[in-house]
Amino acid sequence: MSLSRDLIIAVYVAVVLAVVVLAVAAHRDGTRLASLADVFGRLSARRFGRVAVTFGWWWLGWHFFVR
Amino acid sequence: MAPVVARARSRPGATALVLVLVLAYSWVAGHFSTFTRPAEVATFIPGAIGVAVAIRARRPSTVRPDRSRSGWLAWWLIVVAVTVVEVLALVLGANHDHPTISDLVNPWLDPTPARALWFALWLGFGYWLSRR
Repeated sequence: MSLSRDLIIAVYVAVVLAVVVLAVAAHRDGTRLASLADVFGRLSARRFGRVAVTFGWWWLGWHFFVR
Repeated sequence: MAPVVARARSRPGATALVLVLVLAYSWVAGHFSTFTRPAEVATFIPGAIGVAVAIRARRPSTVRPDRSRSGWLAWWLIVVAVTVVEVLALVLGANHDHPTISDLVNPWLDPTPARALWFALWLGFGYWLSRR
């Protein structure tokens, strides 16, 4: 293990934890934090954004399951 | 896809049937290795259906209007952090010392059951996105 590898993995782990914490916090009563549903809802508010988000999802599957 | 699921939501039996079909499809797709034609077809079909649904959908946005600016900023910071580290790893060679997300995730996709599970989660995520 190298320092840079450990550091990069630590950042990814921190990001995953941040997503979990933020997602949970956004569902508490009275909060004004945007939830993941709000984020994707905003991105998908117009047809262009909705199609772009869907292409992003498609690319994700293609990247991990095909290439 | 949406009308089928919408009908399924009103009938538990139909919901179970859709779920079984999705899991069966994922199980089959999980057996296909990367860089093969079957994997391409198995991934292409739901993607094409998803894009067709996205183009035709007339669903209003589900965004709640009272979100704070900092509430949005937190998500953008996460996106920026991931992008910076990912680009950095790519620029530095995307090797063992500088792994990208793909380098770290790919070993988890190797066994067939795990691959099928991730495929099912990917399909579920796509369905969730289609409801936003």
